[in-house]
Amino acid sequence: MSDNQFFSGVFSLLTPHLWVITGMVIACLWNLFFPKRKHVTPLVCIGTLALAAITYLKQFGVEQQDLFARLYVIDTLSIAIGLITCLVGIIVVFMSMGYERKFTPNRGEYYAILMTAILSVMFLAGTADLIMLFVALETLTICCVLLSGIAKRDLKSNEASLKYLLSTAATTATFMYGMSFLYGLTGSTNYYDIQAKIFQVAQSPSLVAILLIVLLISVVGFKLSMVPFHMWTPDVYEGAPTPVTAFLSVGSKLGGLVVALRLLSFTFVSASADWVPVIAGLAILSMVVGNLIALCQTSVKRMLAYSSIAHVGYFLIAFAANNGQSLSSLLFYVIIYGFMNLGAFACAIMIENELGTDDMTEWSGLIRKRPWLTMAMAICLMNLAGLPVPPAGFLAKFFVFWSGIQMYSTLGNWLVIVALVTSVPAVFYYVRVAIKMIVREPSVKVAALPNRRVEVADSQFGPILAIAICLVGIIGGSIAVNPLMEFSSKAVSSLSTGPVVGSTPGAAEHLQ
Amino acid sequence: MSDVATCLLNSHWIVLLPFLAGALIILGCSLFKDKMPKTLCMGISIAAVFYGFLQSLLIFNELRQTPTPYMSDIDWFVSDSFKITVGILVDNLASLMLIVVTLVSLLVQIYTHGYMREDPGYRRFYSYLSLFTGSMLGLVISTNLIQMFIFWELVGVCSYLLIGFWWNKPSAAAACVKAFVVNRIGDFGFLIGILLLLSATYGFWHAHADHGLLMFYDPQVGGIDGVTLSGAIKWALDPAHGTLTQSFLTAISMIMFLGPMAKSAQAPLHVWLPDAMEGPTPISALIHAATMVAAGIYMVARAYPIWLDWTNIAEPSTASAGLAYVAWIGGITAFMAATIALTQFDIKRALAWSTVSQLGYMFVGLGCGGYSAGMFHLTTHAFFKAMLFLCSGAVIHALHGEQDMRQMGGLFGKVKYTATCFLIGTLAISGVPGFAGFFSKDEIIGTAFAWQGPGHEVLAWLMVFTAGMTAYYMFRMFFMTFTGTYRGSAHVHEEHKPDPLTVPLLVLAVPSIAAGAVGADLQQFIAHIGSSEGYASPFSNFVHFMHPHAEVINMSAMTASTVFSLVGIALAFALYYKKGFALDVAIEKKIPALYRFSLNKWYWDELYMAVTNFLLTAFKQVWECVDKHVIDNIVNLQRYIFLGFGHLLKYSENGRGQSYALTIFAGVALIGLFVYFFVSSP
Repeated sequence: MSDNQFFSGVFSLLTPHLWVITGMVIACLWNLFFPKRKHVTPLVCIGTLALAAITYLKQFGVEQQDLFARLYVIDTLSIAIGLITCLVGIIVVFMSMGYERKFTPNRGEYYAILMTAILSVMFLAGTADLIMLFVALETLTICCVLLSGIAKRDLKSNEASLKYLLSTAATTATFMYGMSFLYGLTGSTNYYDIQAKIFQVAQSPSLVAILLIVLLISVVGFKLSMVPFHMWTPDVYEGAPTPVTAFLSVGSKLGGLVVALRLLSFTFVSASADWVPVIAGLAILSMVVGNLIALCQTSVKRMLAYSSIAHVGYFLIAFAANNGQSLSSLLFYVIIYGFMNLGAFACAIMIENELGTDDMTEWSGLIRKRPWLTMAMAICLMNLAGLPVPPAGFLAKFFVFWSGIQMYSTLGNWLVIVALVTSVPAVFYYVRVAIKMIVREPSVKVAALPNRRVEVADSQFGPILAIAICLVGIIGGSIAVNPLMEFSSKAVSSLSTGPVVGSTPGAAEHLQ
Repeated sequence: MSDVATCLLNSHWIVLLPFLAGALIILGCSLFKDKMPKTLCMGISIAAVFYGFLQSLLIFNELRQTPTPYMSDIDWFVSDSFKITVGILVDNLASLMLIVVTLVSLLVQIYTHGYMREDPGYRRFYSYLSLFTGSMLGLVISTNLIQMFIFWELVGVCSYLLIGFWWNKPSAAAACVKAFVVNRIGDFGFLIGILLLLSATYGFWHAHADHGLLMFYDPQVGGIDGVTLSGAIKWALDPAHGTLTQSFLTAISMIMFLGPMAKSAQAPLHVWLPDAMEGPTPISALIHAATMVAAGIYMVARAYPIWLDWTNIAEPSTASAGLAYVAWIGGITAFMAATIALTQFDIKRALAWSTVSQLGYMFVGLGCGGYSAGMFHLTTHAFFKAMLFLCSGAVIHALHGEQDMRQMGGLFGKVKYTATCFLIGTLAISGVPGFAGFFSKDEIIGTAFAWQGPGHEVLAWLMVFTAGMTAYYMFRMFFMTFTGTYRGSAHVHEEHKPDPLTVPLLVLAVPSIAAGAVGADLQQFIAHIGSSEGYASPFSNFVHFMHPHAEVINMSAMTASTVFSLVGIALAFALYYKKGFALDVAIEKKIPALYRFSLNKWYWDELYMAVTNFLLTAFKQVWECVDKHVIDNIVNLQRYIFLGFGHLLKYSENGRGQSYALTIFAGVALIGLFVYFFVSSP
């Protein structure tokens, strides 16, 4: 094979990434050359993301392929996660339309950085090497830091950015430390090689092995905001501009999740006896802490931030169960969670734009003035609470809890018990917001709203579309349960099929 | 692909189009508010159902020539152990219902244009009508009990919305709530029945997990042993696999029958139907006379194996306790409703009671093993009862909202199309030979005589007697409304030429006259009168596509019921045509107890209110006590515990960046040590 052929082959597989890079470059340069046509930038982003998503869709089901000397792997998991990321990106860009005026004069940069962040998640999805992982992860992190602080004149945004930077510096340190151990133990940075060699290490659990696992979990935990690596979450979520918060709560979590899947469920599969209790313990901590603190928040964004910690706790139940079925329920949960959480954020943006506050008491009686928006927000909240209206959120939760029960162990039972008990306050704090908006008398600010939305300078077209996509996703997820489940199980199946070169049969047996 | 296959393959559009039409109208109205043209709403809605009607005719035609039922299922919920599907099952039974539903719905929608033209809720009404039609058609083509239950609930919701269409009228609001509550009771029984049946036959469905759960049958497989309801019951009754016994199956069928009892207004769950007349008249015709109330009959016919007696497992018999229960509930209801209809003055309510009575007849037919007899009466009744209701609507329209028959009279010359149609409908329902009701009703009565169940002769004679009462009260209505002198004060809006109000009546008059003769094949019928040899009528041939069977014409029963009908008509003629409504007054004076018993509808409502008032008050007091002293404290305690922990944990966030980083390092170290020492120590 000549070099030329090789590269055209590689690039045809990386077409989605190239699309996103194109979008990023255009977003970068557009405002420089056409300062009067700034509103085109988000449309370009959406267009390229949509093209990337379509390419992913076409690729789905393609045979597993390793690129760049096994630095990067194309399999159903990377394609599925990439596809979801593109969807999330589209929704976030829609949400940002109109909102990004607050970032003047940095509107173009905002989209360019957002696209870079999306691109890095797409790369994380297929990473099969520690070096590649580090590069992609740090790209994502730096983008997140920049995005959190994009509202330059806003002190809270600055604070969020700095806190994210400090916290992430700490986890980068732990991660590097963990990687150095790993390299020292196995002599390789490649997942496949590590998977083959880690088996011997796992035979006798030493302090080093356990420390290694905890160090690796810390970086995943940071991205997913598991307790106790969650401290940054509420501050950053509250301070960052809301579309950025939405991205952090879904897009960047997707990145963390796929890293966890590849590192723990694939590379460390033979050491699962060591990491499953850690994950289970963190799941319990996350559910308890996230739900309880969310209970006494008055700011909607802070409440959503803490509750997202709790949702990660639910993710981890399926993770701890660690079999094909549970991992596909996990992916199902992530997809549905993405739609409902992004929907809730999009509604919050629209309400915040008009009311100028995210204090839930100020949202009272909103249904009198904005019935459609209120209903959309209520649907998203009910689904986040796991109430079956429509049943997507409920089913997602149910599948995950079921996978906990299917562990048939004390640990699994405890996980499900804690999940059920902590779901009670979750229902309370989500529904409280909905009740405030629907049942209560209008607050002063709501009463002062005009009856029809006045579009002062910002067009609200983008956020409305974002909400529409999310609602369609939620309703579609309630109806097309089976296709979505099949998609998920196909996506995670590549974790169990093993690598093309140097496969380890032990792993495949374990995951089936 | 052959024409048959294409025609049947596309049958899902019959259901989907009305739903789409409803959604489109709602969308249009919410986007354009009052700017949405009224005619567009009507056009969309009517076009959808018109398409459905045409395709139903095509399907009917195909199935008549080549009886190849068609089924297609899509998975809705799949797990390893079972699968829930939704889909379409178009067989002879369903195609018949499709025609009935789409035709009546189409005509009612045309009629609505005339009736509701001035109503501010015109567009909303059409969207509801479309939704109802879609739901009803979905019920008809359901492939399994679970799907049927979903659409069953949907038609219930539509009925609720439409009864309460004029929600600012307190009586309408109360009526829709009443309908909803009574139907909930029935639906609950239906659901429990489904779940009991599922639990009894679960092993069967588990073994056939590639098929949907609780499927009626699969024509591709077919047969009594296939993956069908009867196959499942057979499997479960076999002591080798299942634990089902015949008595338990009977119990299931009785519990499940609560659903049809409520939906098809059978005693004692009939109380909602007369009150449902608070809805606009097109609704009374479409939902509460022709289609939705027939859903109960259709359900029993569709899930017939549940009601059969499987003692001889190879050959299930219709002499079962479950069917006897159905027959007797139907018989009692038919009789009771007829006695109540004798004294009603509200034209729509009197018709509603006659509907209850006729639905009772259909259940007698089904219960006595006359599967096709019940369905036959359903079909003919749908036409003439829809027409009668639409006529009553036209009368009410002409009198500007007057419904009391004491304020009518002498309208024959003024509303001649309506009056003619009403007369045809009255003749049909009275069972006058030649009209549609005659054939179907006599088939039921004949079946009741031939039946071997408990007290079949009593039941049959009760039905014959009820037929006489039916003729009497229907002609009482006719004479009070259309003959004599006009007793009201309102100006009568006269009819001159056919308009949207009368065209549907005239169209419906055709099947009201001819449906019976066509269904029973008049020539054959006459040829077999008096002979002891049975013959299979085209209708039962069509419905019974699996095992056509012949029925003997019971000459004596037919004569008896005809005589009773004629006596009833003569009585009504003598008393009401000649003397106005003096008889009511006379009877009221002579036997006031019986009169008031009938007028007050056997005091069912009062009984229910007394019982519920007593029970609810007692129940409420007990639970109020428990709630206040126990539950409240538990809930409050929970709240304080959760909130307390929440506040405590909230302060773990101190807002300092350096402590966040510290937590991460400390977290890693502590977790690592904890796991090493306490979890994975070998």
